Amino acid sequence: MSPRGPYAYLGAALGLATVAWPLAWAPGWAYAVASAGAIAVLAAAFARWPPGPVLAVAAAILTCAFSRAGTLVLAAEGLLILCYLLAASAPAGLSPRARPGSWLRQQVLGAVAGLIASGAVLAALALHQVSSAWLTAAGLAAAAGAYLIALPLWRASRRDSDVDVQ
Amino acid sequence: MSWYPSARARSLATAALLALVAAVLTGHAALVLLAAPALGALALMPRRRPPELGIDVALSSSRCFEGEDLTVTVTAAVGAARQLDEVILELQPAPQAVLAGASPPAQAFLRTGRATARWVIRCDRWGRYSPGTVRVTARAGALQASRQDGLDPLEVFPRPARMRPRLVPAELLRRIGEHTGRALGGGVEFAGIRPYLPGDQLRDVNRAVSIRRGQLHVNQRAAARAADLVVMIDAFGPVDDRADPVTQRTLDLAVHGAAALVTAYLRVSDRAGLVILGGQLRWLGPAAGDRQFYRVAEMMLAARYDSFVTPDVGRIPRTALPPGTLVVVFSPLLDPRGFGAIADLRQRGFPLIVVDTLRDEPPPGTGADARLALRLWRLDRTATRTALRTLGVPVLPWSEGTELDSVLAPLRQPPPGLRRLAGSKL
Repeated sequence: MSPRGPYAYLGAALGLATVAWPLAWAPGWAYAVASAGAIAVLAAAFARWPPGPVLAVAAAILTCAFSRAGTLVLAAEGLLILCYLLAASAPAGLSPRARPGSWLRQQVLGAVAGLIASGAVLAALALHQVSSAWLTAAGLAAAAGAYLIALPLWRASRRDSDVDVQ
Repeated sequence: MSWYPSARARSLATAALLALVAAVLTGHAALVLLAAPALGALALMPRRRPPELGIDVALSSSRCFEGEDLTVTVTAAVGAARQLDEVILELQPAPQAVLAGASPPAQAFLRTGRATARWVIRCDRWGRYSPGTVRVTARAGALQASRQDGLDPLEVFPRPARMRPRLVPAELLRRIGEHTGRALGGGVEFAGIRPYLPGDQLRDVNRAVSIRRGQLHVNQRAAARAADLVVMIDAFGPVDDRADPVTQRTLDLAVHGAAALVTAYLRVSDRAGLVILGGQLRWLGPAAGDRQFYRVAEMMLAARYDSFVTPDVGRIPRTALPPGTLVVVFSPLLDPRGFGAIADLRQRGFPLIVVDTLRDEPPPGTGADARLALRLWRLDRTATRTALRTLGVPVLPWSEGTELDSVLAPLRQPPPGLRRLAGSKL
């Protein structure tokens, strides 16, 4: 196995932390799920397995869903997921002229945005919550809609091809 | 180049969706905290489509010899003074080539509108092939574009080993060259002594003999003549990409031997040609000069060609195979069609030398039948060689670790003048 680049070790560490963090509040069977997630993390970091990060995050979310973790623990887990996904998409090797820390500085803005969003949700959760089936359905539809809106060019970009190769 | 959601955007969106679905299904609202940071980062990514990305791939040369270094330059530029978040230029060398320089195979450029990467590759195997694949990946916000292109085909000539052209046919050409001929002429090799005749040059007078005989005697010199050489490559059988390693090795050996011979003879003003025996018969008539080497090398690149056709060497025109030409055949002696062509040529009076390029044997089995089969195979090979020797064709095995010069050494003969000296009783 060969590392993807200088950030492969950072990605592996963040990924392992992501799958390991909620285990303290999780049931016993979650250790098997976390082990599968850890394997996915290592495969993504050192064998360039593309679905690895998403599978590891899915394992972590599954563990969290059946755990007794509190809001602060979940907020930390959300930030860990964000940092891991950012690190997992790091380039394999920087050009000789690029400074080593330049890529990390680029990610600061995304991490700050995640932090703000996390704080906003924490504040919202502190308010009085009303349970309603309609609200649940609307939330589910909003989530699916947000997913589709976030990736709007997926089908359109597959159709057209304006290649400019000299 | 088409733009689509980047891998980062997809993974963030998928993670957020999974967390939201988990929150809805379990009724645990705090699980939204898992999705919030990813959604926040996703919302911040610019989603405007960047302008066109132009890619320029250049090879420093379109032809080279084995082991030579080539530079691959890839430039990706986006117009309209825009910048991309990441441009990753990646080179994946072909199996026949390796990365020789210090540059890593993948180079990432951050916050740039123009990225240029250079790699040095070394082609270790002769042939006509693309030396690698270039992959360009650009990311701008939540969008990414990727394109993979093979490099232009490269002609890699076999690197000829250094050797001396010591084998010459009995009949040399009437052209000035560097081989010692039988006829007398203006060369440098001593050929004999005769009494002085009017018109002889004084610098040719042999003083010792003249004093001993009491009469002027002059030295005679052998003429320096050029020779014709035609190299034949036995390329029967599947010698393309479907070929087994043994067939590939025999063809490699034949091509390298042919390149060494042709280079050595062309260097001393001889004429050299090439005939490829393999399905469709291809030939190149003997000619002199550096240009001929490249013509021969280009024809050798097309030696990997599979066919079931039996070639008719009688179709080779007289200009491609002049009478008296020395013919060196590189053959593994496995295909009966090759044996037939060699026998045909010998019966037509060509001086022939066969270099056996087969260095492998069938794998020895453990059973008695396998041992018997191997013994029969060896006997068959011996019979083939004996049949050729009966026809007057020497068969020289080219074993591992031996240079072609040493392989051909048993057939070397001293120049005619030296032969006469060796045979005289003086």
